Amino acid sequence: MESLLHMTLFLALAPLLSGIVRKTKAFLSCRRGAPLAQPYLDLWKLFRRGIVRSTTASWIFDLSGPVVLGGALVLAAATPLYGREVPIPMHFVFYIYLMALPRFFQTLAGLDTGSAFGGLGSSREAAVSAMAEPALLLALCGLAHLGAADSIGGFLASLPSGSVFRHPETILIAGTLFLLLIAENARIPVDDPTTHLELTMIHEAMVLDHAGVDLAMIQMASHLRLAVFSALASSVLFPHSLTLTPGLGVPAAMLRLALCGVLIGAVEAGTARMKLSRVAPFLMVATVLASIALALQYAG
Amino acid sequence: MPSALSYVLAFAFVFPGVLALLVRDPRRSRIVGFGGGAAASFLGLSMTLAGAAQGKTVRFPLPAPVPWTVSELYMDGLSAFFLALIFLLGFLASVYAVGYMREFDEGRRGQSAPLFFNLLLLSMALVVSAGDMLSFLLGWEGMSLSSYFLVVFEHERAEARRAGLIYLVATHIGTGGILVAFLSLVRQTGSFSFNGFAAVPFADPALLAATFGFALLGFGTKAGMFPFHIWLPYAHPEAPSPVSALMSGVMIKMGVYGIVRFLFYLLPGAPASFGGVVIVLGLLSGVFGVLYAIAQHDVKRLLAFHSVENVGIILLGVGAASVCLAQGQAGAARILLAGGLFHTLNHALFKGLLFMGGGSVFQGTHTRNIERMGGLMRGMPLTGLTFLIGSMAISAVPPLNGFASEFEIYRGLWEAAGKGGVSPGLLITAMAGLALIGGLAFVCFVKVVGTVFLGTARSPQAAAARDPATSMAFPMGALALLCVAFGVAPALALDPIRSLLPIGPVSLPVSPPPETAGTFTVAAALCAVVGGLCLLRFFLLRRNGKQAAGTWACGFAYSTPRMQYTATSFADPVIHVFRGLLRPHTVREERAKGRFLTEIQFDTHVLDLFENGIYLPLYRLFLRLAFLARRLHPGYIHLYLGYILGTVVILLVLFR
Amino acid sequence: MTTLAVLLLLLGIHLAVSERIRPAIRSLAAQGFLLGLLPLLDTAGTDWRAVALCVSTIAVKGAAIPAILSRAVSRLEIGQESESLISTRAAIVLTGVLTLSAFVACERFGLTGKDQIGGAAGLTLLFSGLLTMTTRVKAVSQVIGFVVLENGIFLLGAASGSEFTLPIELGIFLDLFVAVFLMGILMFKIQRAFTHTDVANIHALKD
Repeated sequence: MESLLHMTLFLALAPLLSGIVRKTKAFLSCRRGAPLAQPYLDLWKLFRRGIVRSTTASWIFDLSGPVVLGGALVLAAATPLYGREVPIPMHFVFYIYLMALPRFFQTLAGLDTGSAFGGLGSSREAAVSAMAEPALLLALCGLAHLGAADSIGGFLASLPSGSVFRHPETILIAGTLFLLLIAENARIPVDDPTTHLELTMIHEAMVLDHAGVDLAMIQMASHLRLAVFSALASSVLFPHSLTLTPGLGVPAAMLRLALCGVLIGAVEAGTARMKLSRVAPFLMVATVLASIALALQYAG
Repeated sequence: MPSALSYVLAFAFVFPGVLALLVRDPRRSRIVGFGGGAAASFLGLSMTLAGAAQGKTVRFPLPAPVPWTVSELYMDGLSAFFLALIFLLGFLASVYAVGYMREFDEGRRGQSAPLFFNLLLLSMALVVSAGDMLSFLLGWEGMSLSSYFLVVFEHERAEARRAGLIYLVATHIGTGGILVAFLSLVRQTGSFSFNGFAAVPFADPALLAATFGFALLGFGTKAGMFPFHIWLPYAHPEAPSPVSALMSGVMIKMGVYGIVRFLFYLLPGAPASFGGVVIVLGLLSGVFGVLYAIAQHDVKRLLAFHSVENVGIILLGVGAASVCLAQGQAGAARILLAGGLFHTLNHALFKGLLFMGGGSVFQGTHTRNIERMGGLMRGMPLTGLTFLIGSMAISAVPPLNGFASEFEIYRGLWEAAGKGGVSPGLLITAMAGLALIGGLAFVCFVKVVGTVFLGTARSPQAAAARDPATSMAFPMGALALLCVAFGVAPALALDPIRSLLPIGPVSLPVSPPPETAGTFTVAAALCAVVGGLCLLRFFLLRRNGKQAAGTWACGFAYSTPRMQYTATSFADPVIHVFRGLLRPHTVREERAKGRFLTEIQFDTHVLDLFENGIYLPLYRLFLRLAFLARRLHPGYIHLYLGYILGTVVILLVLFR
Repeated sequence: MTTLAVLLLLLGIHLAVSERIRPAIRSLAAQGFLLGLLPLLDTAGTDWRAVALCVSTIAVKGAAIPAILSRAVSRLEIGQESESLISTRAAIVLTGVLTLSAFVACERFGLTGKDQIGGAAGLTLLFSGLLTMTTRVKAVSQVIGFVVLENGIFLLGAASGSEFTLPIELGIFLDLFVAVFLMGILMFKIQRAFTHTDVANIHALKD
């Protein structure tokens, strides 16, 4: 029952989060923007469409949509949202590596159609995620050390709460996670999903040949990933919200996600996309931050 | 295994090899030689498993190869593990070779291969079951020589001869190191047998360190550990594919065996710094191995560099286990050593699989350059599927076996550093390094699978390639199944491995930790969700319709398959980031006719920094010294007699 | 104290990896301001000496020196980039390694807990100042590096528990101020003589 609530919440809130991000961005750049529910409408439209499948594509292309969405769903099932109990409690290293499975199929599907755009996107996506991996691991190591547990839900819920000034390392880790959120979810300083030029894209170039149902699954997976990362990063700052009863915890979680969405939107509106060669220094900074957080823990 | 059986086993390996030389018909020769080897390996595997099930060390004396010494074979837990590894992969590689070596039927060029192949298997078995220094070295030399003959198997090609020479020199430098380490042990303990070595602890720490250093040099060279790895990317690609599979999957693990044997058995009370050195070298092997692999276009060379990477991961686990043991964390040490050995097994499985897949692709396309392949998933669906599984395993994608063992290593590292507080700086750096290695391996294998099997064929040969015959398909399928099985249910392999270990309380941590979900649960959840979504997609598509069209090219058409993304371009973002370490070398030539550019040739490759920066200058220095030394013997007999006189005088004066 | 030290540490890292001069000067001003707060937090009661030290630190390091530098930058028209001899990636990696070794070094000194964090922050500032001076091309960056180095020593002193003695600290301020002032004048001279302030080219003066 709890699991059902957890998954339903994730599925229902994830597109809304993307909607909040877009709305904030539009608001800050003095546009009206699409309605908050636009991501739902997009998904509904795509699920009712047929697909155009490239003649060069193999079964990997057909499998990519389900695997990408399935991977994102299992990831969401391991991420605490409104309480420490999750449907699938997962070791943090396992959690990080599980992100590789959908990515493996997605990057391969990008190469499968033989399109130069797909290859371009896949290559960049793989490189970005490879360089993000150490930072993510160090950040979660830091949390696991602070919370003295192995599973994601376990250590997030037992983080020392309230005393942000006594534990500056939690801020550093939250910062690292936010940088990673931006890098791993194709957000603006790293990647711009809304340009008209495919050559400059990372994620969108990779899924250019997907249509209809497949595209809907991939978009849903992207919404879910954004929600998963937001839930992680925000619960580091407000670990107390994970110890509430579901009655209070669910609104608290929604508030946290909404805050995160506004923050992402503000960053997107306020920054310009970096050159591709700047992404590596960006991720290195994330790694350095995470390792300082760990050093602080072992010192203090 | 009783003494008589081991003679039977030796005979079972050698006899078919000799017979294969004598049979005239090349096809029968293959079947007799490699089939015999497969049968002998199967016999060996069942004997090992039966022996290991009894769970005690078996030892028996043999007639000594050298007079006045006692030689003995023994099989303890560690030996049993490695014996099982050798015979398992030996069996599958032999079956694969029956089909693969057909290539050499013409002119009966392949007649000698079974003999060396079987001798290689037999000598490796001798290495891991040797109970004393002399039989160990006998096995070690036999292994080096038989594999040398397999590397130069296609000796009509200059590259093969060059690779063979590099291999021969490297392996003998390694043997030299091992010999020095053993002699130091003999001098210290006065015994030739391993039991004798282990019985007497070292008194002098400097001598202990020197002994370990020489052992690390020797075994590290064989294992392909950084910075002694340079022979590996030359030798492995030149050998025929089943041999590459065996060399990469099993033979380099003999180096790992040696390091484990020294650290945990022969040098009791090794200090933590030894393990620290092994960790650092393992990390460097991992990072450099995978970085160089990303830059390769030759599929077998690429796989060879990945062997360097994976040996790095294994050594990371083994070294960390030693550090933990020295600091009194037996529990973490146990997880780490089991993880390292599990990765040894897993690497043998997926690397064997990948080399076999690479061999099938090579037979289909007659090129090793991945830029000339593409779209092979159509013509070779089985090879494609198994290669994909192998690639996911080596990139540590769950729920496959590569992840299962890396997870154990992570878990041990975290158990020690995060909870136990054992040298957190080093061990957490090791974790971050492992994560980087995993991410980069991911890039590399998406590149390989994408360019080799997906898209459209880049050459007519690639378009015509077909799946290989059953004898080659069977081992690939079996290995792929094992990769999945050990990934989904790691306990299948981990429990036996743990029961063989010499350290720690036996009741220690199960995997995964009880409060988190295991691979099996996650795999089941994934299967259910992905299966459901596939069904959903199927029904939606039946309702909404699906149409086929050419790949979208902005309203144009892709006129040639060469417009696809290439492997070089795919690797470029990573190479660009690490260009300071890799120093990519780019040649760009432009040809113009009149005012118009007609042709641009672009070539980029990465040279091994250590090969060119350290080994080549060393080699030149050595050569110069050799030329100097040559002046000492100009060929006059009188001068030589004078040398003898001088030597006698000096000896008499200086040493009474 | 710990939070302050962590902020200073981050500022030090920011300075070592920043690619432009103006953000580096802003980072320097922020460092001066935070360092000024340090004596207030550290002593149990707020006595007049701590207040005096606080005010003078903020005035000199947080305001005066950054002002001089930023005036120099605009007057000299030396452009935005603080050209570096190494790539940004290398600078980040180096700074990360140096920061971690600062923690290790403080552990070796026997500092633990809060003191280790403060000491590590001080050492990081010191390292990043040195790194800036070693790798940056322009003279302004050298001056910035020098001031950061001094900040590091100040913080290290505070972390290792030595007393804030007002006369000595004030003396140091005066020295620092004069030094920066002189360097500013020197930069003008270099500028006028060679029409650029590229320190890497000074070696051409040797005979």
